[in-house]
Amino acid sequence: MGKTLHFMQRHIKKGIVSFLAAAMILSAASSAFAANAITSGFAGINNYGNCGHADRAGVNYCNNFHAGLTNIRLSLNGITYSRSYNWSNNEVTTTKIANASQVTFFVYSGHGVIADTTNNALHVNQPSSGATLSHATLGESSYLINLKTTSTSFPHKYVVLYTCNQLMNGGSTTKEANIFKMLNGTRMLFGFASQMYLDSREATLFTQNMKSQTLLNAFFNAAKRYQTANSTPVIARVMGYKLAANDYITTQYAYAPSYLSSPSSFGYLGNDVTIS
Amino acid sequence: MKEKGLFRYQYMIPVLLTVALALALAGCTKAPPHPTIAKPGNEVDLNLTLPETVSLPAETKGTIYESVVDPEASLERAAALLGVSKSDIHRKENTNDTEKYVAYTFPDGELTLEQDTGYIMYNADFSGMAAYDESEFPSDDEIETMTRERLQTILPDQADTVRIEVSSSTGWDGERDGVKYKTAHVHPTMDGKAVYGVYRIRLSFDRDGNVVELYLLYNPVEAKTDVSFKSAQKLQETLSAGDYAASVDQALQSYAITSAELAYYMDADVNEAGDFCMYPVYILKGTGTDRTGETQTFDVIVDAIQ
Repeated sequence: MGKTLHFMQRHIKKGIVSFLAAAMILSAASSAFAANAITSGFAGINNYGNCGHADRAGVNYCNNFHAGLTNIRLSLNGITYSRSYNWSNNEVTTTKIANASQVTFFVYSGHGVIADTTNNALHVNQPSSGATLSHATLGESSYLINLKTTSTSFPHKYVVLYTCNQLMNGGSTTKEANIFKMLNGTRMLFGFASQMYLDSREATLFTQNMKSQTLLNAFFNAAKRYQTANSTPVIARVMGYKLAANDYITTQYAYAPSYLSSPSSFGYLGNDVTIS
Repeated sequence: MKEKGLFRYQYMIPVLLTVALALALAGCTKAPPHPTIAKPGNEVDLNLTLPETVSLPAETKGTIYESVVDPEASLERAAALLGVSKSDIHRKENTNDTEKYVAYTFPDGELTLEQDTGYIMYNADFSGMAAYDESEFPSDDEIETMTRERLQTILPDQADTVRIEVSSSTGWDGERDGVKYKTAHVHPTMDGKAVYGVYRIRLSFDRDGNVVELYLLYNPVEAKTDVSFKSAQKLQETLSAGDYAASVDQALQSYAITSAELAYYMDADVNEAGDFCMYPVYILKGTGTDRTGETQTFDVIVDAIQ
C-alpha cells in the first residue's frame, strides 16, 4: 500500500513537473512569437504664432511618423500599432510633455533651444498656464514655454526629439549627465547636438528604414538623406541604453532601467553622424 | 427659330475669345516656383535689417534649374562611385519597397533608389565595424584623391576642383577606440556658385579603401525658367516676415549683416506641385556676439525670386 502510494506520488510529481515544464516552454514560445505591441504619442508644432516667428513642420513630421508606423504594422508580421495621443500646435504644452503617459515611441517636433549651461529646452508655442500668450511678454526663456532638460523625465521606450540642440552639451559634463538623467525607462533618445533643419519627409524615411535596419541606423540614415548642410554642420546623435544599439522594430524589448539606477549601462549609441 | 439660336451664339463668341485670352495670359504670367527652404528647429530672436552699406549683387535676373531625374543614369553613377559595373546592380524584389523606395542589390550589398528623385542611398552594416588606428587608414588627402578619381565620370567638369571635405568616424568597437571609416563630403557647385539645401555626395571608405557608404544626392540639372530677383526693399520685407533660414544656434547680443551674395538652393525632395528644382537664393553673411562675448558668424538663406 505504502509502495503503491509512493509510486503514485512519484507519478503525480512527474506529471506536475512535466506540466510546469510544458507550460514554461509554451510561455516562452508565446513570448518569442508574441506580437510586438507598439504605441506612440506625438507632440508636434507647426504654428509658433505667439512668438511671431515663422512656422515649422513639427505637426507634419509627427503625422508622417504615425503614417510610417502604420505602414510598418501593415507590412511586417507580428506588429500591432496604435497611437495613444496626438497633440498638435497649441495642444502641446510643457506640462503635457512632462506628464505624457508611457508609450513605445514618443516624438516631439518643433523648436528646441539651448537654455543655459546646464539645460536645453523644448520650446513650445502655448504657455502651460495663464492668460498671457505672447512670448515677448512672457520672456522667451519663461518656464511656461520651455521644458528644460532638468525638468524632464521620459518614461517612454524610444524618444525622438526632432528639434535643435537637445543632445548638445557644449562640453559640459553636467549638462551631459542632465541629458542622460531624462532617461527613465528609455532605451534610445534620438536627436541632434547642433542646429538642425525640419523636413517632415525625414520621418517617412526614418520609419521606412526601420523595416530593415536597426532603429539606430534608421535614424542616422534618414538624417544623412534629409538634413540640410548649410554653413555649419548638423550633428545627429543617439544616447541611451547600451544594450539597445541593435534594437529592431520587429522585436519587443523591455524598458531600460533608469539612468540614475545604472549610469554605466548608458552611453552614446553608434557614432555621431555629421552632415556637412 | 433656328437662325435666332445661331444669332445668340454669335454674341457668345467675343465672350469665349475673351476668356481664352485671359487664360492664355494667365498661362504666360504663371508664377515661378519657389524653393522650400528647410527652417531650423530652433528659435533665435533676430531682427534682421539689410544695411545700406551692404549692396545686393548686380545681377537682377537668374535661372531656376530643374533636376534631371533618370533612375537608370543614377544607377550608372552609383556603379561608378561604388567601383562596380552597372550590370552588377540588380533590382531586388522586396516586400519593403514602396512607390518611392525600391531596393537593388550589388555584389557588396543592397542600395535604395528613390524613384521620384533618382537619389541613391547605400550603407554597409556599421554595427560590427572594427576600429583601427588612424595611421592604418588612407590619409585624408588620399581619400580625397580616391574620391576625385571616382567622380571623373559623374562630375567631369568639377571632378578636379569640386570642394571635398574629409571626416573620420571614430568610436569604440568593443575592444578599442579608433577610426571606423572615413567620409568624403562632395559639394558640387552651379555656375560657380555654392549650392545650399540637399545637393551632395557622401562617400565613405573603410581601411582598405572599400566603399562602405554612398549617398548620391545629386542629379544634373537643366534650365527651367528665367526669373527676376527681389529688390533690396522686397528682400527686407521677406526678412521682416521671418521667412528665411539662419544658421544661428544661440541668442546674439549684437549682430549685423555684413555682405550679400547669390547662391543656389536645391530642394531636398520633390515639392507638392511636382517640382524638383534648384533655385537662386541670397546668402546674407553676418557677425554677432554671443552671451559669452565671443564673435559668431552666421549666414541667412533667403529666397531671391521676386
